[in-house]
Amino acid sequence: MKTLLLLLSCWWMTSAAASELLFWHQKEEARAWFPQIAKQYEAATGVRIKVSYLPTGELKTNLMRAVFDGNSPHAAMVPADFIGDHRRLGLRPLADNVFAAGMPPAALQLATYDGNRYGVPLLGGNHLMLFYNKKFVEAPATSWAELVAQRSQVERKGSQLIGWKYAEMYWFVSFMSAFGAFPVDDNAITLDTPETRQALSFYKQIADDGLVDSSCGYGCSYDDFKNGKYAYAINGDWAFKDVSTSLGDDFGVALLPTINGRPMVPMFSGMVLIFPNQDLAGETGKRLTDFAHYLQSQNIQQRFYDDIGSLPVHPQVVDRIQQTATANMQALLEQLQHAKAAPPTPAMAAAWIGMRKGFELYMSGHGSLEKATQLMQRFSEHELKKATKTNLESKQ
Amino acid sequence: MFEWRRTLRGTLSGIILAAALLPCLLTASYLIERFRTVSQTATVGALEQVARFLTNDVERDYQLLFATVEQLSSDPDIIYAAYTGAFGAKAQQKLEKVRQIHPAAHGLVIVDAFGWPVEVAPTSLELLELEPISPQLNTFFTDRSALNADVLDIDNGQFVQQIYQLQSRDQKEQVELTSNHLFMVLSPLWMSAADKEELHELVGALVVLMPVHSLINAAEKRLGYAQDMGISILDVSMDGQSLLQTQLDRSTLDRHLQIKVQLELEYTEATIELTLGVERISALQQVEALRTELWAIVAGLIIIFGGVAYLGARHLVQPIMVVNQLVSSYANGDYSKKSLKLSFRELQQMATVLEQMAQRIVDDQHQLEQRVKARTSELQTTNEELRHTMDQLKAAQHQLVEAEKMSQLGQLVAGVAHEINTPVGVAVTAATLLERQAQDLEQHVAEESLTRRALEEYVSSTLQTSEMVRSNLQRAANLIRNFKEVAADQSSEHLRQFGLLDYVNSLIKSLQPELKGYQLDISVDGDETLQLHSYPGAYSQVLTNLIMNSLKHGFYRDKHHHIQISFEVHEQHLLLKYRDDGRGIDAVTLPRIFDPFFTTQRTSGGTGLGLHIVYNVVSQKLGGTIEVHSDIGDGVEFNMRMPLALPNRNDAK
Repeated sequence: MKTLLLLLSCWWMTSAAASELLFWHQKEEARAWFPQIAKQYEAATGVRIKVSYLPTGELKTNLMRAVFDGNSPHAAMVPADFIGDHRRLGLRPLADNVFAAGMPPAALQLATYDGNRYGVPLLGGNHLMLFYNKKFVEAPATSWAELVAQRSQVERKGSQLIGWKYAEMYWFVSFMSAFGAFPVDDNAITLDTPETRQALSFYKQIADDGLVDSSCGYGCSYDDFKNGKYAYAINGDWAFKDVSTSLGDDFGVALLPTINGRPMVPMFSGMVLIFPNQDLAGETGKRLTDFAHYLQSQNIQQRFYDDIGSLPVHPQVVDRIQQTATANMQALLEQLQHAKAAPPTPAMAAAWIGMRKGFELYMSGHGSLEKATQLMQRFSEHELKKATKTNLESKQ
Repeated sequence: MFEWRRTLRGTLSGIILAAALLPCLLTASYLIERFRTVSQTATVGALEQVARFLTNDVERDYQLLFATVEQLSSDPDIIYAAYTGAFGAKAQQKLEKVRQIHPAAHGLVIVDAFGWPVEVAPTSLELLELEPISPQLNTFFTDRSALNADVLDIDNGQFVQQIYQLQSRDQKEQVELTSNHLFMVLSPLWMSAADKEELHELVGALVVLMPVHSLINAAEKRLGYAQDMGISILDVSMDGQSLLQTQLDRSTLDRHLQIKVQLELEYTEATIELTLGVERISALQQVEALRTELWAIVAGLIIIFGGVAYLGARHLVQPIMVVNQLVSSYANGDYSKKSLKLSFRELQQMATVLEQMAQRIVDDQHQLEQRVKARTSELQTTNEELRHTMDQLKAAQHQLVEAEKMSQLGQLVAGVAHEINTPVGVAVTAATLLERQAQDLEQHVAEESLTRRALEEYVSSTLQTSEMVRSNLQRAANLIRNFKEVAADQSSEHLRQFGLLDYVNSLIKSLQPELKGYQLDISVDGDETLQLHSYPGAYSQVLTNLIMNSLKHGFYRDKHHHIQISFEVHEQHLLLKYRDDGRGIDAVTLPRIFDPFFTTQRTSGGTGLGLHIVYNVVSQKLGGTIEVHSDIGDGVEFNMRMPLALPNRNDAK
């Protein structure tokens, strides 16, 4: 009888654990890759991983909705700065056992807020750099003045100068740094500053001067660049492998050009594995922990680099990459050195929202520079206040 | 013009014209009036139809909008956008899409539970101050029992103006708003955890801003298809209160055909009405155009028919004119044979008869001339005799007048002689006494019996008697002098200078003999300094005759009477008034008193020439005028007006 009861309890416990783990990600280059990994994992563990891809820009909102609606995925691979919205994403501090041994502190820092780790670092980088097509560019510009000087030369060769996702704040923030501006300082918003206004003014001016098309979306720096429409593109490490494959020897990577002698410092955030609304103590939690370790394993970390060109965090893999890095990779790694970590703070999460609003106001011509940065500041502060007040999650 | 109408041609032309045009005018006017009524009815009908279409369109638009708002309020991206800005970008896209699909939604705002605008469409509204609507928002968030959307009326011109200014990018540009009102839809955004009902939270509100100004513009655009009709929106009201900034005055509204339509909108129980109108002038433009056309046609017809009437009348009247000319020539004495050939038989007959009559007239005229010659001769003879007789009569009249004058003078002489006789007689008697007294003194002296006393008595008596002689002779001399003056003047036509007042007084004195026997007062008033250069005799004749007339015809001897003679100068004329208080002259006699030989006392020896003489002297000799006023028992008044400067005459004497 006791045995029967024990068997029954084991069976019940087994049945209570999720037979399928839902996993969401936003890496376009991994759309086909992650399902392969999932299949291999299933083959090895019997745990089925259902992979869903969501485009960049929709992952956060879908995750939040899923959390609000109570049907969030078990895990998701997200940019580390999502941790700023840890409350709304239903993230809980993770225990040490979730992390692989030897995880670099710098990587762990990306997923840490207020002394708590809310995600498992999987990838590093996720930063912007300057891509260029050697077919049109002999030597990449190191400053914006040089870039402007190359315009006529590039256009004579049948291409346009440069393209990027103009209205995306992740790109704009790279320009802010050249003017000494940064959206946050610790957990305070610092957007209404003369430096931000200078950056905004410069950013609009280069579009008004025709150096860049202000209506450019991601396609300008990706497909259009690969097709030779642009000589230069500002894009991230996530596109490195694919563009390199497309352009071959014509592909070049360089540091972002300086502006008035000051360097453009892009943000980097890395990618982390989070567990929205999940309690890792239970059986499902064990499976998730196991899955986390799987993704942190050297093998998978190496495959991250080899298969989709993403920068892993595993120290040994990183060393090997550094040792065998091509010139372009070296440039990529060098830019990473000259990048600034996106703080995984609620202030940063709020600042992204505020920046967009002020940016759109100024670019549409309906507000002055002052009005734009004031809007950025007050809206970000309001968002921060809302984010830090007691909300739905805390009532559970 | 009126003379022309009196001609046959004119009358005929008028009749033809009137006969041709009048029925047309009447018929056309009637039809136009009917058309006007029909047109007005049709316009009202069209207006109602347009209003119906417009109402349906607007209601449909708003229904769709409200349905979209409701749907949007259930959209997770919208709800979550109020909760966290992470959903802002997607929410903003959806708001912008709604705005493009529903132009009535002029602006959309997602406000969070703190009343903050977290997302707006269009982007320009990021700077919109929501302070003016914060009371409504506060009430909305406080009263959490409101599960449905609500439509509120916001009356704030500044707020509405700001919305448009932000959109125009020119903060200073002022839009001329037709209304300061704004319809605001507030739709709650409820967020709930799927399996946790107790966590149903109002996280914000979807605010739709619909300025009435835009509503009117949109409605007017919709009315574009009825542009030809000139339909416009006159008023938008809510619960009877106009929402327009500038309401049309009564007179402007009255110039329009109006129709009111009610809008049925969800989420509000307020009665929203649109008043559409079309200017009566525009509505009846066709009628007016038709009327103008009618008058143009009438004018044309008048010209055409006028010409026809004129030519027709001329043709008809031509033979009459010929006959008229024939008659005129006969009237002018031209009876020569004309041998006319006229178009119409009747007129031809008339002309023939006239010619026959003319011939008869010529014959009769000839006979008449003969008779007239004979009679003329007889008349001439008779006339000659009559003229001779008239001359004789005139001479006789003149003699009689002179005789009367002489008679008057004679009477005057007789009167004066009688008067002189008395003082002369007294003087003779006194002189005789003086002679006797002197003879007595001579005797006494001869007898040397003259005593002192006798001498003194003689001297005293002589003095008295001498005085008597002197005064009576003086009196006689005065009488003679007066008479001389009057008679001389009356009998002579000498022009001289004389004082009128003194002269009149003298005349009266000279007439004393005549005045005896009457109880009479004669007063003379006038400027004693007035000097006339005239015929005193004339004045004497006039006044003498008037006085004698009063005595003879007006006064009673046993009654006291008054004669007032007054004179004054006025505008270079002498105004001489003679008035008595006698028995007066009756109205039948009065007009004839100046006629020669007219008298009411012929049996008493009246000649009837006295006043005739007065009239002649005043009017002819003195160049003046005389009027008489009298009534029975009221005396008689003669008013004479003579120029101071006598009329030009040959005064040889």
